[in-house]
Amino acid sequence: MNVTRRSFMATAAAGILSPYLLSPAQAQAAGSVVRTKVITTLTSLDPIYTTAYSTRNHGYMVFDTLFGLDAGLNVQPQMVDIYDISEDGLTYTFTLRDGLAFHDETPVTSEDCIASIQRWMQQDLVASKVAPLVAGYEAVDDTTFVITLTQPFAQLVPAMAKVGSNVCFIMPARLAATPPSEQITEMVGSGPYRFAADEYVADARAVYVRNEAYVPRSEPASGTAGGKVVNVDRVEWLFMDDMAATSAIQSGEIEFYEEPSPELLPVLEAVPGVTVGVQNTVGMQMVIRPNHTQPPFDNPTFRQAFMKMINPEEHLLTYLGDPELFTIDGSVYPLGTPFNTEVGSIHYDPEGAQALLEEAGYNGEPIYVLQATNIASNRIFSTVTAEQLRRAGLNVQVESSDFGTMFGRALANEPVADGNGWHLIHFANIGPDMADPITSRALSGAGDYLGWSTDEEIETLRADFLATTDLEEQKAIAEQIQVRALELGFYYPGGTFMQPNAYSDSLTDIVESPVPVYWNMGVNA
Amino acid sequence: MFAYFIKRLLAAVPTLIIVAFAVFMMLELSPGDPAELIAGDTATPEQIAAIRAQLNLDQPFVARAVAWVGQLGTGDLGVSLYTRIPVSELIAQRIEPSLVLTVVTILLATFIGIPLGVLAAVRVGSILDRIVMFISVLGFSVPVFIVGYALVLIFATNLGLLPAQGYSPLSDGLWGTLRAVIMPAFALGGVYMAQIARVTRAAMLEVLSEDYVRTARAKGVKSTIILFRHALPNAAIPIVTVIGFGVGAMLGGVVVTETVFNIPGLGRLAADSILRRDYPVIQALTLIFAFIYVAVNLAVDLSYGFFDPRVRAWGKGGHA
Repeated sequence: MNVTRRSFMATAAAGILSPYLLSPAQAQAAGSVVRTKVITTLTSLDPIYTTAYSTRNHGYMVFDTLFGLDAGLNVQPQMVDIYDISEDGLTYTFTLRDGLAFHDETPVTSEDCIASIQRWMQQDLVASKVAPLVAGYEAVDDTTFVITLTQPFAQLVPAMAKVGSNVCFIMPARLAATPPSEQITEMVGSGPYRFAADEYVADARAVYVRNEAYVPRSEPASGTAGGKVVNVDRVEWLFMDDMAATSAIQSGEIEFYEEPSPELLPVLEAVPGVTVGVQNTVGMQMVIRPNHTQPPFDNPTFRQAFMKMINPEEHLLTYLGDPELFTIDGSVYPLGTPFNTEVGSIHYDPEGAQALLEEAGYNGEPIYVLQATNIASNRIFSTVTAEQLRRAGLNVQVESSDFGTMFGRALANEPVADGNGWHLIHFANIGPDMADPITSRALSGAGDYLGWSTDEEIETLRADFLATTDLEEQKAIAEQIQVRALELGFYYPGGTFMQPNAYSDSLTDIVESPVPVYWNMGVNA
Repeated sequence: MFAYFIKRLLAAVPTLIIVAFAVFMMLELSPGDPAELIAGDTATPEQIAAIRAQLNLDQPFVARAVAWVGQLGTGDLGVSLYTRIPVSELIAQRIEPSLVLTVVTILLATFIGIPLGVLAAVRVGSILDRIVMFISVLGFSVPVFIVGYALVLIFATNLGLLPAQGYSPLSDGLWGTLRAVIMPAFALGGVYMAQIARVTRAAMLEVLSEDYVRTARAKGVKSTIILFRHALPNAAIPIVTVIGFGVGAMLGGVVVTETVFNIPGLGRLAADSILRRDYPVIQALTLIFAFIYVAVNLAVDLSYGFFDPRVRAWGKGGHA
């Protein structure tokens, strides 16, 4: 090898300077810190005040839940040790595990649980349905409490376990006394991590430190259930743009990268020491929601025609680029959830769509598709939908804006004739949020959700679903709701897709869960 | 000069009031409702209304405007609608990274741009002049984010010499801070470096063709003295103007740079707040940016007097 003066000088300079120039990530041993790029910024800390997913995920770090959902979406006790439901389905008795304590070292008591449940019931969609049925709460002793209902409500315990916002997090009674329209900013929970309030920089960084006093369950961790064993001292959530995160994981400055933008997956897969894998095996569902109040979508025949114009494979292939990451089955309940069924599903049928379009008497009026350009999935889904509708002969106009503007316009629901209305909006919802006829607001026939679908028959079926405790009966009702909702074009369920994470090979035992969780995880030095 | 300074300072007050009023109006007219965004898509109209009432967003525009002005009068910038953290605290958390980035960028742009411009002027028409002008056109034309990602690829990903993202506060050591901001400063400073180099070259060419320079040369004065003692101070006014203009324009560039390099500064705070309609934060930041802009312009104006005796004479009531 020839050693020139220039190469010698460069090597010498690099040798002298490298201890100073190496990034902190490379200079320090990984230790017991996990630095992660999380999906979205954390701006509100109170998971009952807002339904934002980032706040919900933060809730799982700081607070604990009475029940959890395992990776197979089965309800499992979490803070609860044992529970009993009376034969008539009216009396629920819960007994807490021993050793539960809040971060301020006060024990978790029945009063705390009751106050937290009451606050949650004022805010959560499913829980608010049981609130009017509650005859009373009773704290039997410090660890046992009873909820009595006036009529059976089979979804009470599943609602306490659900991972979709709002989650039934338990907080001290003094905090839970805050009205749900007012945000709690003091973060005292009994969860596996403590929130480092002094290190929190909104939109930039949130830090969680191990709760040494946390007593995990003895079962293995699975989803949000099982033993939440904390193996790292610190978890740092960093909020950054996708490109910055890609550079950061390549240079060892972060260990975990939640749901990278799909177009970056091939780049990340090629990085030595980085693995791309799916932890949320329940996945997400693409939702195309028509506005039932605006012509021509106020006509069920037109909505049926629209449903047959959509080929979701194009949406998901364009967005994800990998057919392995999605499944199209036409069910309103995502694949892998208990009520998923093919019955009544509607599939791409251009000829059928044309026949229905003629029957509906479409006369070329503009169809407004809302688009949020700052959300990759929304940008792509709305672009593909617009193209498919144009191919079917519709006069489509894409209305682009940022998410906030789009959302405001959608909720305002002005008449399209006035120039600021809309016809179609897209969402990508996590599977558990769409898993049953109650949790999925897009299946509401009460006209109380964006898109404002109404149908008395569906509302009757949803009430029947709530009343029964028999799983087979629930499945039968859920199936009827699916058939009816698809017939009426409540919304287009565009298949189930997976969003992989990217993580350093130094991480071990990452938990499979529908929401990102940071317990059980270890770091190899 | 002091009277001039006070006069200019007072003249800034109506500017700031107009900016504050315009921002309030624009936010009022812009679509999107923070209460809806906070509540999320599954919230009921009642829940949204409760949040709106809790945040006083249900109050009429005039009532909110009056309340805001009253708050400002007591030095209170309000509370973020989302985090419920006082805006002054949010700004205090974010001001250091932006300030350090801006100062380092201006220093780099100035200390590289001026010598390059002088060099190009002295060797006008030479290969060196062309190279400097080529670099300056490049600096002008390539967007900040392209330069940023290229620098990250080379110095962080491939060579591993500098951190790819993030910021290290001054309290953790100056060296760490400099390592964190050196790439962002180069990315952000490219445009200003180019501007300063071009303006310096043009101003120096003009000055170097003046009679007094020719006379100095004829008298055998050393060329370095001609350049740095006689020519450069006389070319300073356009250079200082472009530097001042750069500081103002940089406020926009900082948003992109802070995003590319994940620096938790005021630029990112502004962009994030706009996207989620966090009105008190947007209003406070706009006022601060407007104040910086006014202050920099004032500093530039005052510096004219330092470089040009004619301006000083005019300030004292003399004639230029």
